[in-house]
Amino acid sequence: MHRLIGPGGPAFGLFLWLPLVVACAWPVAVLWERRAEERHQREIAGLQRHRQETNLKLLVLQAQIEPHFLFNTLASLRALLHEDATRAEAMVDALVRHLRAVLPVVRTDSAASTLSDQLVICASYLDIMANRMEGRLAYVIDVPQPLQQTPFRPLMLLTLVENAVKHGIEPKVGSGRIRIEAERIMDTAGFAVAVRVIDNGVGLSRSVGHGLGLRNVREQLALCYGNRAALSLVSPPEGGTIACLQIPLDGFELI
Amino acid sequence: MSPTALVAEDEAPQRRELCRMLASRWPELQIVAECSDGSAAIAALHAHRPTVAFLDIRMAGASGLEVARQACNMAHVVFTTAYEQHAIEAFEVEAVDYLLKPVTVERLDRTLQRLRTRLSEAPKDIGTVLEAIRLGFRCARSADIPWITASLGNSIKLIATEDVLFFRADEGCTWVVTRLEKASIRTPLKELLPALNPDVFWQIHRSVIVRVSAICAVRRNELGKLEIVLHDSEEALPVSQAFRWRFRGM
Repeated sequence: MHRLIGPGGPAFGLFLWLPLVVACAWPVAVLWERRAEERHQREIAGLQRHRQETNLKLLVLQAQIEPHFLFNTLASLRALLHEDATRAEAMVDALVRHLRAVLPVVRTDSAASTLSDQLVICASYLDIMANRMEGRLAYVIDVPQPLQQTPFRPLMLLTLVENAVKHGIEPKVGSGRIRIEAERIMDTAGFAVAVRVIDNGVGLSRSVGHGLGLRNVREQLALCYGNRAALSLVSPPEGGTIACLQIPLDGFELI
Repeated sequence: MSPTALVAEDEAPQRRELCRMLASRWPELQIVAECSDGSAAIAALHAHRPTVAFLDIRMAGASGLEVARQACNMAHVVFTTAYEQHAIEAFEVEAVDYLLKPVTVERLDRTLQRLRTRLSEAPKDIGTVLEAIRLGFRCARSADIPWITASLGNSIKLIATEDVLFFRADEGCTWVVTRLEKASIRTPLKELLPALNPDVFWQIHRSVIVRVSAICAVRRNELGKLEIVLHDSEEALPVSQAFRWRFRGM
């Protein structure tokens, strides 16, 4: 049987087999590595796809301009054209600012959006509404300068402000006020920014409700921050409503 | 006697614009009341008994539809709205007058023409269309409820239905329990149940509705009664005889 190994005995056998083993193992190893590489690529592609889907989902959640708002604004504008050209002009400017910020097709990249950008959008919306409601709506924005540079996802704050007008002030007979404020807070997970929209309107009614806009905000928060962000709405005993958005300040250094 | 009109619109510039257009397109029409909210419109309606009432649908105090219910046999009603798909469809079907905002001169002329020919007749009974719209709004609303506004101490708080672990009825009030808090609503379970997704929430007792995914285990307590233990709550929930079938085979 030993003869089968070859004339040189075990040593020769080793010389014969080693290159053979290497020759066979080499392609296997290369193949193995290529497989791993492919798998890795697939994973990356998968992650990219997931990211794209998330972005797409976020875009859908953000796309919102209410026909009711647009037509009523144009109806007011039609009135102001006859009565007060200066006010009409200011209204057109505010409407254009608002549309540029809100219309998905003309909106610029959202990744770099800051709290300051969002406050500008809220202000143009509130300017339009104050003009339309003529004295029935007043507003104040009080956010400390350093906090204004906080990265802030687009249009979530606007949803809270729209809600304050639509469900707080508009149903109220007489006039109302809205205040937007922000502060840096410390919670169990680290630093966070809390932005509050406070109105003195009719308050939440004790019933079951819809709030599609608020649902969108909640979904956006979940997609972007998991369970580290929070949205809350409370009507205190003295009336009105306080809406609060709390967002983690991951590694964002205040200047 | 010249015809009279009431104009109810909560946004002042739009109210003035409609009055201005009416004055120019129908000079004989005398505007007797300009109202900025629904309650004021109802009061003015009874005080002035106008021939025509122009009513915005969305107003504080009382909606245009509520004002119209009062106006039904008194005045010819013309609704104004920026966009209310559901109502507009109903108006079309019942041939009820309405104006889309912003109001154009052409469209206003058509409406005024129709009104002039109808002045001698009694106002059209629009009860059916109002009822249809009311039901339509209610249908659109009862699909599902993402939010519940509940009392928490002296405050009222908005709670996402997604966060609710269970509802428990107790002496005339319904407790809404989440991982973090316990608030109360006045809606009885009976009314709540149809509004909840039956795959997500199960009724397990006359007084308990529970989120299925919150259930950790089903066990028998020391009295031999079936009860449920939850992942995120200390409270054990009773399962009554009538709902035991849900857990058969578990």
